[in-house]
Amino acid sequence: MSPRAIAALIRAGWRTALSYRLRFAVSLVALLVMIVPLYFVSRAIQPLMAPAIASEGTHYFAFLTVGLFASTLVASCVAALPDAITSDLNSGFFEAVISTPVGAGSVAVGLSGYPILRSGLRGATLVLAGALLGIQLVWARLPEAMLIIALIAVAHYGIGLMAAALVVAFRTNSAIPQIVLLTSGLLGGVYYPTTVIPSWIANVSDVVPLAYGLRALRHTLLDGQGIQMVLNDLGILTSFAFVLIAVGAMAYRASLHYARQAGSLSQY
Amino acid sequence: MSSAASVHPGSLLVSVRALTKRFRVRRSWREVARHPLTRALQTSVDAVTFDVQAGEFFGLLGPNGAGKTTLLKVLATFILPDEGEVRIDGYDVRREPDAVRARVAPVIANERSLYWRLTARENLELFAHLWRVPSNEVPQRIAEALDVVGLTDTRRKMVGQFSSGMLQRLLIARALLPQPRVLLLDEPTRSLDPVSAREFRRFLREELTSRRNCAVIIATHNADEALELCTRVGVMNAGKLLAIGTARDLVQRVGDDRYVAWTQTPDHPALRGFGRTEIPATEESVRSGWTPVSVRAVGGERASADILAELVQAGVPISRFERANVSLAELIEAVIRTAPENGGGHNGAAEKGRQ
Repeated sequence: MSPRAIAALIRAGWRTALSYRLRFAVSLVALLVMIVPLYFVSRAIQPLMAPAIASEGTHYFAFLTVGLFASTLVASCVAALPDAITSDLNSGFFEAVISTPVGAGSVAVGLSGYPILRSGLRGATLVLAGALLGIQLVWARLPEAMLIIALIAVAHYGIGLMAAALVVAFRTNSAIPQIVLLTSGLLGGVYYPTTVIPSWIANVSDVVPLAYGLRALRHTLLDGQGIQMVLNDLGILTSFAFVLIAVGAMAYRASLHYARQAGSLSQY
Repeated sequence: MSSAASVHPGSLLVSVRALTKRFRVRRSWREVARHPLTRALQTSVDAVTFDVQAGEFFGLLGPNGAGKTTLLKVLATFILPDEGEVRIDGYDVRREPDAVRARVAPVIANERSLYWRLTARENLELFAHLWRVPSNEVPQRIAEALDVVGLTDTRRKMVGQFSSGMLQRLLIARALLPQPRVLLLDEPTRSLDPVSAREFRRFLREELTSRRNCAVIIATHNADEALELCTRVGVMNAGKLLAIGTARDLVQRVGDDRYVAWTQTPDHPALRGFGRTEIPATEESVRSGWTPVSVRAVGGERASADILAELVQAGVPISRFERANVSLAELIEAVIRTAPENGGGHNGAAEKGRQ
């Protein structure tokens, strides 16, 4: 890994985003405005949701805001790299980048770094705006929360690497990002706790990394539970992160080799 | 990054030995159903062998689909070879690709391969970091590269506002940042106007090969590039390297038995005896009343002198008698036609692999 190359690619992404000044400002305002209807809708259905979310914070507004933060981050981790490679393959930029001595890993992290960081910051802004509207965050548990957020990001970045591998090798991501986002949204506990999911589909929820991550995140950040209390979810999330990132990295490397063998790496 | 400045002129930088690359051919579903286990392969580069030395400009000529671009992509490590050996400055492209990438800079001709919302300077800064240019040298290298391609004044302009020629020069500047030992160019003047193209060729010759001592390999369809720029050229067709030599040598070899006689009686019977062929009328020939016709003189200068004497003796009025110019297209056609694979016996083919 080359931190310098990664930083340079992230800086280029940041500079590009800044060059669209109006879009940049509008997206920031839209993010802050979005929290207002979220607040009122959450308050309206609070009595309905309170019993279901009792084990993961008592206020639905806080529950939903943390869920949306994680969901935003997951969406970016899964889709940023395949999207970047699809676009950069078509423009020839990917060919230009891989012609340099920077390793494949640095290229992947560098190309996807800015959109992921941006999503993380947007999500954090959302949570902070929520805090201003009354979400009680346990700030003392921030280090544990950061660890859980990092593990959620790593696990889903592994899936993103697999989707990117399919793009490099076959010019398609086979809808992996969409499938993961749909599954995570419906069964990962973003809008409602996984405990309310019907039993016939609850088994699928067991293989959704976000379900473990979000449960652990809410327990620490909203309920103030320590790491020992979320050890079970954290352990499973860590296993997911290790396996998915390892498989993703292998798939990505194999796809580059395949594309070099097939001569498709610089076809656009 | 290994700088080209430390390379001695004439030292071997690119060594290609029996390079072969085949690609799978996409088959129809019906074909796959009929023969599920067979694989259709197309040979894109076929046992190609050549060397390029420091300070040398090597041109790859040939029709579309000849294998020129595939060959350049193998040298740039974008494509893995199936057979043979390719070494850049002693490093094997298959086993030591990172070391090769640190020495080779392909000029990616696609203008979209730049960040259009960034300035020229910001684009170069990004690639300077990717090329591992030492941090303290980055500003100087960028300034030098921009200066060399004449973009210093527009360094703060957004790349999306550049003209095609400026983009082309910026792509070259990007490739120069790491001070490569080997530069790979695929039709570099494709989108340049004639004046810019000539200026660009002058820059390539003076700056890259003479001053920086780079080895430059260029795939081109442009006669000026091949004839003025290249120390040697190789003619490829159907994946094979059919001939290697200086462009002038090859042109002379192909066209050495063809002469142009300017006459007022182009249909004179004496001309027919020497394989007379018509040459399209030019503005000059129409204006002057003297028509150029092509005749064959097998046997070099002596034979041409004999033919001229015979024609004059036969009463053919001749104002000029000169060796015919051979265009790049004619050169390529002639090399392909006379290659041993096509039943010919061109001398150039015998040179294959010798360099």
